[in-house]
Amino acid sequence: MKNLRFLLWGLALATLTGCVDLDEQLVGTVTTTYFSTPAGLEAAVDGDYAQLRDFFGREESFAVTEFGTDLTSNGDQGAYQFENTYAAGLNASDGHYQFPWTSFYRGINTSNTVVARAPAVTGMDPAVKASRIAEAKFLRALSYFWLVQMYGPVPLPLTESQGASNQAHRSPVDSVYLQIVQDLRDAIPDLPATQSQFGRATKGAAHHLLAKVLLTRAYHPFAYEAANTGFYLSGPTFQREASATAATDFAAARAEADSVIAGPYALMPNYVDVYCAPMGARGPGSYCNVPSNESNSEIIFSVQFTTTAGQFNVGGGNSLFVQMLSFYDDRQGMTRDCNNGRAFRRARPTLFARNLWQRWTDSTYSTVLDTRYDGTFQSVWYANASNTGACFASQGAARMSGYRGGSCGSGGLPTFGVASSDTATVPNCTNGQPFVAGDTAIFQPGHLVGQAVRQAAKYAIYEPCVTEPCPNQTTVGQYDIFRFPTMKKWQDDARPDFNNLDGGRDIILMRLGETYLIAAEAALGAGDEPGALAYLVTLRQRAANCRGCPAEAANRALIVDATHMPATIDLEYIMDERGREMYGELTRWLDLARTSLWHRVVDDNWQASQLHGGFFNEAKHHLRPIPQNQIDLTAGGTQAFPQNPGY
Amino acid sequence: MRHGLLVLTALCAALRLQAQGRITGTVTDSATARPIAGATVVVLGTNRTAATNTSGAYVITDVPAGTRQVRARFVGYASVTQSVAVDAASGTTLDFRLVAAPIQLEGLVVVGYGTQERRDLTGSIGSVTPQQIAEVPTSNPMQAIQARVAGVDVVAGGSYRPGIPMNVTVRGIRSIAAGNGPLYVVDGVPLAGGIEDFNPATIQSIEVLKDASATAVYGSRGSNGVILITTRRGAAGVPDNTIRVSYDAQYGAQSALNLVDMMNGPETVAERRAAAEAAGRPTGNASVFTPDELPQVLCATDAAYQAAHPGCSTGTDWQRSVLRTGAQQRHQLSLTSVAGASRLTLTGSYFDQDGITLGQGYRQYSGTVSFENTYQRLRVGITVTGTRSVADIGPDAQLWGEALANNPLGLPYDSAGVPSATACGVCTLKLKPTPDPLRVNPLREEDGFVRQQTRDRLFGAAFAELQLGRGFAYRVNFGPDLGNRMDGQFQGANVVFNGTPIGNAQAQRADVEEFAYTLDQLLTWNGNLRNHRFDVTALYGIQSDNTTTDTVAAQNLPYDSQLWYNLGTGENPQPPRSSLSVWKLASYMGRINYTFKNRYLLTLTGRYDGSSRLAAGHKWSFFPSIGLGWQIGDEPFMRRFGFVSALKLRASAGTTGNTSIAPYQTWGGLDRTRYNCGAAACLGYRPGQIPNPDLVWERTAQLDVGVDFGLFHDRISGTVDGYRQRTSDLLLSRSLPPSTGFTQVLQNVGKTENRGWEASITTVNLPGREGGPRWTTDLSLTHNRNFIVSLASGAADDIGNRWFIGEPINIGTNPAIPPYDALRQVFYDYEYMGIWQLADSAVARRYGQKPGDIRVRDINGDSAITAADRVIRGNTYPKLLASIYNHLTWGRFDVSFLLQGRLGYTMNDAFSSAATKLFERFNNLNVQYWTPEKCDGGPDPTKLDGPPGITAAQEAAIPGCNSYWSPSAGRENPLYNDPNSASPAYRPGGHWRVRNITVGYTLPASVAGHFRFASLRIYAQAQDPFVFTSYYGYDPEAGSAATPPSYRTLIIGANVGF
Repeated sequence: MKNLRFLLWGLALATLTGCVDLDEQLVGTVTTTYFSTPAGLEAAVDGDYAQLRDFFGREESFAVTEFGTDLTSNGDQGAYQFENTYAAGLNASDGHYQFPWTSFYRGINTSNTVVARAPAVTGMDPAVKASRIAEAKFLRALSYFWLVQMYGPVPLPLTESQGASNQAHRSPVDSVYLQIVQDLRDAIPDLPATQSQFGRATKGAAHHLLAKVLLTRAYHPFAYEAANTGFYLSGPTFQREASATAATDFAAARAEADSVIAGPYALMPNYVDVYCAPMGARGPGSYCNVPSNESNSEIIFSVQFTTTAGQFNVGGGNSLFVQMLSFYDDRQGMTRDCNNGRAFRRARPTLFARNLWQRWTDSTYSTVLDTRYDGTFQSVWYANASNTGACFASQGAARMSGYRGGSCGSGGLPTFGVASSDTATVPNCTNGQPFVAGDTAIFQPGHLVGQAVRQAAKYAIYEPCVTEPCPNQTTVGQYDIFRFPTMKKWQDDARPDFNNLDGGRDIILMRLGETYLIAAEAALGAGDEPGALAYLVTLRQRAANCRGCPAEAANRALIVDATHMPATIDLEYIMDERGREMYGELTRWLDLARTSLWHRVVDDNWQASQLHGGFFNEAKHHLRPIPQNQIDLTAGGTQAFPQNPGY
Repeated sequence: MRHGLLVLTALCAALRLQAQGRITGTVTDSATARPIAGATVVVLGTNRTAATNTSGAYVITDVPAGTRQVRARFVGYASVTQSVAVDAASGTTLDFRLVAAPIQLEGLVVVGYGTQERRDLTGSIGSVTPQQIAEVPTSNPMQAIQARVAGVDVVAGGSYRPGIPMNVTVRGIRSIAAGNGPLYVVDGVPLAGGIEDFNPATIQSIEVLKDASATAVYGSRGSNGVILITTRRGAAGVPDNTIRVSYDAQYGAQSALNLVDMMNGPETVAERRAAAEAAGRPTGNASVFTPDELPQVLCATDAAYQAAHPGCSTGTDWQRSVLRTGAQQRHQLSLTSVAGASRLTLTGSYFDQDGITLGQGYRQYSGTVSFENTYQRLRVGITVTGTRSVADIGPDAQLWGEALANNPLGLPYDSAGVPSATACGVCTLKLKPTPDPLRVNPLREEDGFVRQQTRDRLFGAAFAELQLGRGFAYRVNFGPDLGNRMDGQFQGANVVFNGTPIGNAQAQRADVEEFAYTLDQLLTWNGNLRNHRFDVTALYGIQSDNTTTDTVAAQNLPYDSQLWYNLGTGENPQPPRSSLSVWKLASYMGRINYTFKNRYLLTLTGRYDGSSRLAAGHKWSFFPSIGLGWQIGDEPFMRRFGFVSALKLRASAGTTGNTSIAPYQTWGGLDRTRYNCGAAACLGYRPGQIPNPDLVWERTAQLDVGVDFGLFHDRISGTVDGYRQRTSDLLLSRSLPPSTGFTQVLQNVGKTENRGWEASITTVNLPGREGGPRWTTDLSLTHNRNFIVSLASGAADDIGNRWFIGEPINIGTNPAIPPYDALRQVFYDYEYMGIWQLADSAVARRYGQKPGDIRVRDINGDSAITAADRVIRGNTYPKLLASIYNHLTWGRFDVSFLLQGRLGYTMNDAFSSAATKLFERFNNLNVQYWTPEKCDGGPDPTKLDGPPGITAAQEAAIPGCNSYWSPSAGRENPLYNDPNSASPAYRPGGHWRVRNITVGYTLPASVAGHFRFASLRIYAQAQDPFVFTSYYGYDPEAGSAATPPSYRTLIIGANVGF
C-alpha cells in the first residue's frame, strides 16, 4: 500500500517533468552548412564581393595609397597626418594598416570557403558554378595582391578556417605571387567576357589584374627572402613559375594588357567623363556631378556602391569624397552642401603634383591643353548661401565685371578683364551686396594673379604658392593646408544630406586608361621604348580632347609634340604620366613601391622629407607595418610572426 | 510504538503536575519600534513555543515555574535570549526588542530550497536586514545590498542615469562569456530575468550564498553566487480577520556630485592660440577664431571691448546648461490580512525620479500580491509582482558628449540682443553653437530627441506543498516570468544626430519579448533519530527562456509629434530586424543535511545538470559538493573560554558549472552582407562565427573555510571566510589572429583562480541597556585576487587578448566590441615618462617625435618605440573592498552611516584622455599644458630664450611642463593618448564613498495615536553625499565615457503604521 503510494507519486513526478528536449532548434539562425547548397554558394560569392566595400570605400584605402606619396600631402585636419610625415604614429597599432589586413583576410576566408565547398554542391548549372569559383579566385588574387604589395611576406591560407587556431606564419613573397598568378590563370577560362550583372568579375578584369601582378613581380628582386631565410616556416624558393624571369614577366604583363585593350572596352572620348557627368554651363572647373552611367565603356572592374535601401549597410558607403576637399564652407556666400561636399581636409596635392599637368597651351592661360587637371580638381565654388555674408569690402564696384563664365575650350574657368556686357557671364557679387546663389564665391585660378587682382575680385581668390614649404604660409590668398585644389573625382552630390558619409558612388579599381599605362610600363621593362611611348600617345591625345571645341584637333597634335612630350620616355616619365592620368585613383603608393622610385617622396613631398622635419625612411617605409594584433594574437608572438624591419 | 506513545503521555502528565506559569509580551523592532509579526518565542529546554501576532504580541502558557531562558527570533534579526522568573501564580511579562543584524549566529536563515537555523549552516552566507534595505532610497533592490555584504561587489552599471541596472559580482569573477551575474531567487523560485524590476519595499530579507556548498543546490545557475530574496508575507499566528496597513513615503532632491573642470572661454582662447602656434599657423584673432566667436574672445581678452560691452559673455558653461535639480519620490502602501488559514499581503509602490540631466527620468509602478493558504496537508501559495517602469533617457550620452566637447566660446541662443543669452524670450536655440560642423547644441538635442524604454514585467512564484506523512513532503515550484521591453527612439527634424542635422524626423522602435519559467519538483524528508537529524531533498528542475526581438525603423517621418507610433507614414522605411533565442536547462539534484548532536554538521549535494547551449555529447555534467560544520563553541572543553559565546568552524568544497553563453554558439553562424551588382541586389553571407561543437561546461572547484564567532556575550561577533576557486574550461570569447578571417571565437580557453578572504564583524559598542544609547558597527572587508593559471593555448601569455599568466582576466580590449567590461581590465601599454622637452629635441627626433609630445619609455633601448616596449601597467581589480556601517539608536532617535571604499586598483582615466586631446576643435579639461614659451626655462615666458645649458630635467621641473602635452591644431589624437595607447592615463585608483547617512525619529505612541497611527517614524537621509577620489571624470564607478554625472540625494520621509 505504502509502496503503491510512492509509486503513484513517482509516476506523477515523471509525468509532470516529462522529458525536456535539450536539443537546439535553429530557426532564426543560418549556419555554414548553407554554403553547401546552390543558393548558399551564390550567397557566399555575393558575400565575397562585399569585402571590397569594407576596405575601398573607407578612409583606409585612401590613407594607404595616396598619403605620403610624391603627389599628396596632408591638409590641416585629421588624426592621421603622421601617415604623410611618416612620424612615430605610423606604427603597428595604426588602425589604417590593421583594417585592410583584417578585411582582406575575411574576404580570403570567404573565397576559400567557396573554392572548397563548390565542387560538392549539386543542382547547379556547371557553367555558373565554374564562373562563381572563378570569381572567388579572382577576389582572392585581388586580396593577396594588395596584401603582398603593402606588407611583403604574408600568411597564405588557402583553406576555409575550421576551428579556432592561433597559428599563422608569413609566407615568402614569391609563393604569394605564385598563388596569385595561379588563381588568375585558373579563373580566366571560366570567367565570362561580360557579366549580366555589372560589377562581377570578367575575363577582362582578370587579364588586367594579371597584367599588373606580372608587372609588379617583374621588378621584384626577392632580395628580402634571400636575406631573411630564417624568417619563414618553410624556406623560400625565390622562384617564379618554371622558366619565368623578370623579362618574361614584363613581356607577359604586356601581353595580358594588350588582350584587355583588344577586348570589349573603349576609352571615353573625354577624360572628365570617366568620373563625372557632363558639367553643363558650370564648366569642368566646378564640382563633379555623379555620372548617370557608372558602367561606362572604360570601366573594367569597379567596387559597387549604391544608396538603395537594403543593399548597403549604414556605415558601409563610399566615404572617399571627404578626404581631399579644400576648406570652403567658412567663406562668405558658402555653406556646406552635398555638391561641394563635407571637407575633411585630410590631404592636398603637392606642389609637384599641381605642376604636373600642361594645363594650358600658353602662358596666358586662355586655352586648356591637358583636360585632366580640370577633370581631377575643382577650382571654382559658386555661392550657395544667398544672404549669408556680404561681398568683400575691397572688391570692385560693378557687378559682373571681371568674371566670365567659361565656355568650351577655356576649360570653363573664370578669366579676367572681360566686359560686363558679356552675356556668358555668371552673376557675380556687387560690392557690399550679399552673395546671390550662383555668384562666384571662391576661385583658384591655378596660376599667379597677384595681390592687386586678388583684392579687386569680389570673391575669394586663392593662388598657388610656388615653392614648398611655402615661405608665406600665413598670407591669406595662397594655397595652404586649408585651401588647395579640391579632388573632384570622388565627389558625390547624391547623398541624402551633406554630412552623410555613406556615398553611393562606385570606386573604379580597373579601367582601360590604366591598362594603357601598364602596357607602356611593361613594354619599357621589356625593352620596347617606342612601343611604350605609343601607349602614352593614345592617352595624351585623349587628354587633349575638349568635347569638340575648336582647339581640339590642334591640341591633340600639340600635346604629343616635341615641346610637350620627350622623344624617348623613361620610367620617370611613365610615373609622371600615371600621376596625370590616375591622380587620386588609389594606386600611387603602390606605384612607388612597385618601381622603388622612393626618391620622389623625398624630393616632392616636403612634409614627408627629412630635410623639412618629416620622417620618411625608405629602408623602413617601403613596407607597411604588420598589424600589432596579428602578431600579438599569433602563437609565439614576434618570434613566430616577425614584424617588418624598423617597426 | 504504542508503548512509546504511552511513555510520552505519561511524561507529559508528569510535567503537568509541576507548577506552571504563563509568559506574555511583545516583540518589536528595536530601530522602528514596530511590532514584529510571526516571530518565534521559545522557552529553552522545554517544548513551549509561540508565534507573535500582527501586534507583535505572544502568549506562552504552561511554562514550568522557575528561572527560564526565553529566546525570540525572526528572519533578518539577531535572536535575543532573556532570562525570566516564571511564577505559577501570576503571569510574567517579557518584551523583546530585536535588532536587525546581517551577522547573526543564531536565528533562521533562508537557504536554497528552505530555511535553516544559522547555527546549522555549513556554507558561507551573508545577510542583509530589512532595516538596511529600507535605508536605501531606490527602486533597485541591488542598490540596497551595495556595501553590505562581504564578498559582494555592486557598482553602477556604467552610467548614472536614473533607472540603470546595477552590476553585481560575488567573490570576483570567474567567467567572461558565460556571465558573472548572480542568480536571484525570490521566495525559493529562481528568477529567470534580472532583479531590477523587483520592488525593494516588499523584501523581508536578502541572503547571499557564496560558496559551493551553499550554492550547489542551484547548480549551474548559481555558480556566480546566489542572492535569495524573501518577501514580506502575512505571518502565522495572527488572530483571525485582522488587517494591517502601513504607508511609507519619501521625497528627495538631487544634485550632481561632481562636475569636471573644463576650460572656460578665456582658457579656451589661450589654448586655441597655443594650438595654432604649435601647428605653425597664424595666431591672430581673425585667423584663430571665427566671427561668431570673436565677441566672446574680445570680452575675455580686450579691456576696451569689455568697457564698451559691460556684462558681455566670455562663453558658455555647457555642463551646467544641461543640468537641473533632480527630484525623487517614493510611495508605498502595504496591506496584510489574515483570515483563517489564508494569508494575504498586497503591496503597491510608486517611484518617480526626475534626473539631474535634462530629459532624463525614471518611473516605476509596482504591485505585488502574495497569498498563501493551508488546507489540511496541502499548502499553496503564490506571489506575483507586476511592474511597469518607464525610463526617459533622452539624448543621454550624446547630450553629455556635446556638453563636454562643445567649445565654450559658442553661445546656445541666437543672441537677438541678449548679450549673455542664457535666458531668452525671443531668440531661438542655435543649431550649431560653434562653427564646428560636428558639434551641435546640446539644448537643441534635449528639445527634439526622445528616447524612452518601457519595461513591463509580470513574474512570480507559485508553489504547492503536500505533506505526505512520516516526514516526507512533496513540493512543486513554478516561476513564470513574462517581460516586454520597448525601446523607442525618436529624433525630431530639428535634432542633429551623429553630427548631421537630419532634417527629417526619424524613429525606431525595438521590442523584446521574453518568456521564461522555472519548474522545480522537490521531495523532502525530515527525520530525527536520537542525536541524528536528517534533512534530505531530491529535486528535478527545468528552466527555459524564450526571447524574441523585433526592430522597426523609418526615416523621413511627415510630422514631428508621432514619436515611434506611426512608422508606416515614413517615406523611407528601414529593413526590419527580428530574432529568436531559446535555451533550456534541466537538473537532477540531491542534498542531505545531517546533524549529529547538534554540533557536527554535514551537507552533501550532488547535481546533474544539462544545458541546451552545448552540443550533443557535452550537454550533461555532474557537480558534487560537501560542507562540514562543527559547533566547537558548544563542546564541553570550550567552557573554560568564557569569553567565547559562540564558535563554529565551517569548511566546504565543491564544484559548480556554468554555460550561460548565448544559444547557438556551437553551430557557427553567418554574417549577412550587403552589396549590389550594378542595379541588381547581391545580398550574401560570409562566415561570421567559427562553429565550435566541442564547448563543454565551465567548471569551478571551490574550497571555503570559515569561522563564525561571538565574543563577550556576542558584543563582538563575526564571520571570517577564506576561499579558493579554480575555474577550468573557462568559456571565453577569444580574439584570433585576423589572418584566420575571423576576429574571435568562443572557446573553453583556460584556468583562472580566485583567492580571497572576507570578514564581517559586528561590534556592539554601546549595549543600549536601560534606555541608554545602542551603537553597533558592522565592518565588512573583502579581498579577492583573480589571476589566470593557464591558457588552453599553452602556458604562454596571450598578449593579443591581454591575458597574462598570474594576472587577472581581461574582458575585451575594445569598448566597441563585446564582450567588454571597463571594470575588468588589465592594462598593457607603454610606460609614461612625461613630456619631451626642448633640450631633448634631437633625442625626440630619433623617436619620430618633437618637444611637447608625450614621451614613453624605450624599455629595450633600441631607439624606437615598438610593441616590445609595452609593459603591464596594472589592472582594475580592487585589492580591498571595505565598508563600515554604524547604527546608533538612543531613545527615539536613530542614526546610521555607511561608508564604502574600493581600494588598490589601477584606473585608466579614459575620461581625461578623451578630454585632453588639446587640439583646436573640442573643449578640454582645464589642465596645465606644455608650451614652448613656458617650458624653455628662460626669463621671458613669451619667447624662447632659455639660458644656454638648461637641461631637459630643468625644463621638466617648470610647473605644468611635464604633465600635459602641447596643444596642436589639426592633430586630433596626441600620439600615446590615442585609440591605441592611453599611456598617460593610468594612475593609482582608490576611492571612498559615503553611501548613506540617515537620521530618524520615532514619534511617541501617544503622539502617533493622536493622528490615529499605530506608529510613525520620520527621517532624513543623504544618499551618496560624498565621494573622495583623484579621478578627473564624474565618478570613478561610472565608467569613462561622457555619461550623466553621479548625484547625491537628500531625502525626507516617513514610515506610517496603521
